[in-house]
Amino acid sequence: MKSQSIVFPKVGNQQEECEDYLFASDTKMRYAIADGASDSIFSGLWAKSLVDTFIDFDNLSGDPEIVIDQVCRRAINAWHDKIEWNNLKWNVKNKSVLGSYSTFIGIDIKKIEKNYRISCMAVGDSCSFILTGRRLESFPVKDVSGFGLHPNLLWSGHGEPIFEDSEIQLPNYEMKNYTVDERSGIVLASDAASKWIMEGGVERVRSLLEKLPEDREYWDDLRIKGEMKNDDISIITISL
Amino acid sequence: MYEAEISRRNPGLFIFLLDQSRSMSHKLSGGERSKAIEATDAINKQIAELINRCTKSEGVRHYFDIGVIGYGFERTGADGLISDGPVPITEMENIIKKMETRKENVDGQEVEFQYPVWFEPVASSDTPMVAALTIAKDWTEKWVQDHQYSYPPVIINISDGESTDGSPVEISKAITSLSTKDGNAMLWNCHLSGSPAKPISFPEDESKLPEDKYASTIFSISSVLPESMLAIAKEEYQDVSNGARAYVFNARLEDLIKLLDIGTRVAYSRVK
Repeated sequence: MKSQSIVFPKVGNQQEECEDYLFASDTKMRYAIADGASDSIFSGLWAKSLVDTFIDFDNLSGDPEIVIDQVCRRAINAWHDKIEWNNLKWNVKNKSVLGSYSTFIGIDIKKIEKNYRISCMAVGDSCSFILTGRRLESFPVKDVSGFGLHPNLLWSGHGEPIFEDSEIQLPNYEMKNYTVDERSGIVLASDAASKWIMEGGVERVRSLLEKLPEDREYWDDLRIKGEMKNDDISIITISL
Repeated sequence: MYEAEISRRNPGLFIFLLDQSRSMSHKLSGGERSKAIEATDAINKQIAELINRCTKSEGVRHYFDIGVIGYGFERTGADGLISDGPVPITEMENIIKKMETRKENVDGQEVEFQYPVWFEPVASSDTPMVAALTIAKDWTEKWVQDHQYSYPPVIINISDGESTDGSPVEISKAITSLSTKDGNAMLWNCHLSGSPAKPISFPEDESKLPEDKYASTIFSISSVLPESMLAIAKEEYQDVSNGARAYVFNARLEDLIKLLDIGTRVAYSRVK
């Protein structure tokens, strides 16, 4: 199994201003991308908390409601603990108590005899693409009209730690399992890149799986020309 | 038009004109508070909201320039209240007069917010609206020369309508003839009257105006809403039609905030 990944900020922004976060673990066979909402604050931190929690979670194969609940609780506390709440300026604090928002796509891969079982979990419009031969399946967004202005989001809460008995609101999540063989390839991407990938279809996915361009200039050029929306972008490609 | 991306390279401009004349000490029709209190509260809240929208974890980003012009009060003229011209929004946090703590209900949960106060209500002297608009025109003229690729400036005038230094019509035309490559500057008017006429928001013709001797003039100098702002105004108010102007009569604080929000929300939606 071999993965490649890139994560770049909007054209005009610095790398440290990027609010997308990804992690690709070939050893754990887990991959995730979170796209922090630019309207909220500490979104990059929230995206990182979600991805890291997902990657490190012990058992993702249990009851989905319980898994999501536990991932959210741990991510909320991780996000909360990383912010120095007592040292925030008034405007940063005013905004941070409204919480951070992010979309999410995560996959867990297990080898079962000659095949692979891929479990996908998604909130919002960050997507996975699975290519087997000429068959391309996208999840959770099925066509380009699905990339709207108001995707489902994961919320960090009002900046308070979560206890075992604290109630939390579960996000509108989607899950799907695939069984594929070793010829298959997988691409994960945040929304702007996902839309661009979907527009390019099978050939674009195949090309990315062969070689994911790592130069920032290549991705800036696409966004400057308007072929891709000027947004943070993150992509992971996985060859089984 | 009115589609330019607002960024640190191409920031937007808001100029607030605040009537501080004697007549602003009168209560707003049907309300308990003076027009001066309503107006300053609205501007303080709206600047705080703009800062909120520009705030990222590392601090405030320079997405907007802000100018505030007061007219009346002790000057018997008009003057910049924070500086002699627009300042980057990043500088507004350095000139806060005081902070107030308020609790607000957010999604059923009580959350504590810090509210900055830049301007206190004052009401004295005449209403030199033309002088104020002339300063706004000078600031806007200079600004558009340096920001041709920016979203067009928005000038928001909060007044009880009675200009004591002449007709505001010609100077208003001069302001709205200034432009960036993305469109003409816009002049918004919040008309706070003591008249018992019911509040009116975004009328499209004079027949909808209340019986107030200044309403027609203030309406006539208000910009026609561009399509993007019209769409939001229609979401907020039922009877807004095509051709609606950026004019609100006898708005209470919440309506003033809504008006300012419509003017600023569209601009903010262009922030990248």
